[in-house]
Amino acid sequence: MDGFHLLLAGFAAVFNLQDLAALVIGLCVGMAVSVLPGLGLVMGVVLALPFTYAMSLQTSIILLTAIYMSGTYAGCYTAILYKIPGEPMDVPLLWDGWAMTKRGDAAKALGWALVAALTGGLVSSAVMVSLTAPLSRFALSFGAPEYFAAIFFGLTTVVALAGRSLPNALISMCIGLFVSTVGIDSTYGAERFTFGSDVLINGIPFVMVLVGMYGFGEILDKIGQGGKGVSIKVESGSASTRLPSWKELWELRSTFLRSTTTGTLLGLIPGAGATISSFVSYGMERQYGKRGKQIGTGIPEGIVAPQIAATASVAGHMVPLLTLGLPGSGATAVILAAFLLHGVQPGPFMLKDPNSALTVYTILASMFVSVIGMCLLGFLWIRMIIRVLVIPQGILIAAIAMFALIGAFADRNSMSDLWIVVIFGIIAWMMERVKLPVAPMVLGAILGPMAEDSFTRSMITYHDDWTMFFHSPISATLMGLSVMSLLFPVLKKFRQSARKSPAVDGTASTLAN
Amino acid sequence: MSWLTELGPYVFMIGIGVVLYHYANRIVYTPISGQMGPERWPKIVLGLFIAICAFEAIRRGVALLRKGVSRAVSDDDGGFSQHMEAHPLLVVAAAAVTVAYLLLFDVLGFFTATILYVASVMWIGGVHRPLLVAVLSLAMSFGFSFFFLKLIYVALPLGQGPFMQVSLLVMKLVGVN
Repeated sequence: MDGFHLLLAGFAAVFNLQDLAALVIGLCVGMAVSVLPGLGLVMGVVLALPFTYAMSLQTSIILLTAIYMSGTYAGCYTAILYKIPGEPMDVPLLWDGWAMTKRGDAAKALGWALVAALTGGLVSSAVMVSLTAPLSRFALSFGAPEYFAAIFFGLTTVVALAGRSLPNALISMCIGLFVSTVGIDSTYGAERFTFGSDVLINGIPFVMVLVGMYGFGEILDKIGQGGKGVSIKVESGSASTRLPSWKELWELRSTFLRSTTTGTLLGLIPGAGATISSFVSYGMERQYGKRGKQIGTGIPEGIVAPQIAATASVAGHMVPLLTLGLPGSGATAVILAAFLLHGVQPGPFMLKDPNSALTVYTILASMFVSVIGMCLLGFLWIRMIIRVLVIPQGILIAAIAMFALIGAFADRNSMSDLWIVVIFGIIAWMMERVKLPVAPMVLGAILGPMAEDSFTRSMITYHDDWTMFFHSPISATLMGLSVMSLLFPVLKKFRQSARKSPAVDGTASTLAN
Repeated sequence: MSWLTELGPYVFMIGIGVVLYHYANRIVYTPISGQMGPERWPKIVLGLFIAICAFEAIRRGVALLRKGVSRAVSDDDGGFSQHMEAHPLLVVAAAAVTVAYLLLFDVLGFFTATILYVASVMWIGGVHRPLLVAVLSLAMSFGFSFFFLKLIYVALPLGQGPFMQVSLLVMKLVGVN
């Protein structure tokens, strides 16, 4: 079967009762977590992960993808209506969205956000689906060095985009890579860093690291803010949505095209998640848009650009995961974890087997259904969903803590897993305090075994020849890109400090005078 | 003091890295000639870790010497300068309550331990109405028991002595034999 027929079969599979129910639940969960400030969509995906143990692989991934997809959209409601960004990616939305609300155009602003999410999600999914088979064929030509180079590229871009300090991000990545080496080594069966503990012999389960760092760590963070609730009045009429006319849509065609392209392309870059896509797209609209100078004053372009890019980045992240097995964001790392929990390593070989190829295309088809579903839910039920904001923080925190802890316990009925969750939650909270970014550590812990495996195979095959990573054009390009992604922030910082220096000198001389 | 806050964490991490590197040297395995051993990868990771920490410590040390202790480098370049939120004690309390929950999990059983844990977390989280907290923690514990025991079949601890009787009663109420 070719890609198109597989996609049609995938659509048919999505509409079976079990998968459709998972999709709808996923959309509701994603919307609920994304409207709550401080609880990110990654946390929603993490909390749902332990409940996928009992599901089929297909249903699990559909559930998690739906949470991921709708998590990029629902936050627009609170950003536009109440000036409360549920996620960092919603911040650009509130600049123009809130300005429109103050003018009495809230319904119109919500309509623009809905059309933007729909367009970004559908177009990006279509582009990415068409790229799946070629990317997969390309990935089949990868040997161990190319695979290592691809993982190395993924890690370095995440590091480069993770925070202000490149050394701190690298330190965080090393901690994650180290955590993945604990336990019995797969090649020699040697015990590494177990310190005589039975618990550590099987290694530190990365699912517990994920639940701890993204789930329990976030709970501690929220508690540290003093249980500040969000005080809003959910008025019955304020959350209605008015769609823009065809003429209005046509006038913004360049914005739609520019932002969809930006979001889709940025989605392909590991580490550049929905938040970066949203900010970059907003910045591009400001610079290149027809009404760029008016951005921020309450014009639709300021809503359309970030919303399209945020939603478009989801498909951009999902396809490298499905075709190469490489996650580029926190949410796709959790989805990779769900694959591995079901004993499946996503990658190019999935498309070679007819059954797993159908699974891949069913997941891709579910992205289209998720986009349409979340827009319908947003249009019809958003008033009910944003009521989650009026629940006191303390109650929400208690419920989420229980889901995180017992969800983790459910995997193996092991108390040691719960301790790992709590320990890594505390580590995540402490890391945030000392400005060590969490994302590189989590990705390091997940990609560590794959990186070590491909590195070991390369070194064995090429007799310890370190230069083999630069022999093939693919691995040499990826290694070159990795080096560039690490050098770019350093060069940028040098340029910034070079620009600042004259100003500082000038200020100093003025003060001296 | 600036020296300590600027360089201390990096020096501490270098120390940990060196200790772990030492442990990596002691990994026991049967070597195969011409093939890298299981200690190579962790040693590369730890070597990189130590090198970055050392680089950053030196960079900061030099910056401190140049700028003077009063103008530390930390603020804007994302060093280890700490930013503590408004209520760090609440975080300590929440972590302590969670540790207590895990310690009492097997003794009190899931249902009773969860009532106490949920009530404590709600209180720490800012819900300070005793009756509401009591009712909600009871309802949530019962709801979670139903969800985990009946719907997704997790074998949760029953507890010991009288607490086991409570757990068995709850199991009967949620329809689990």
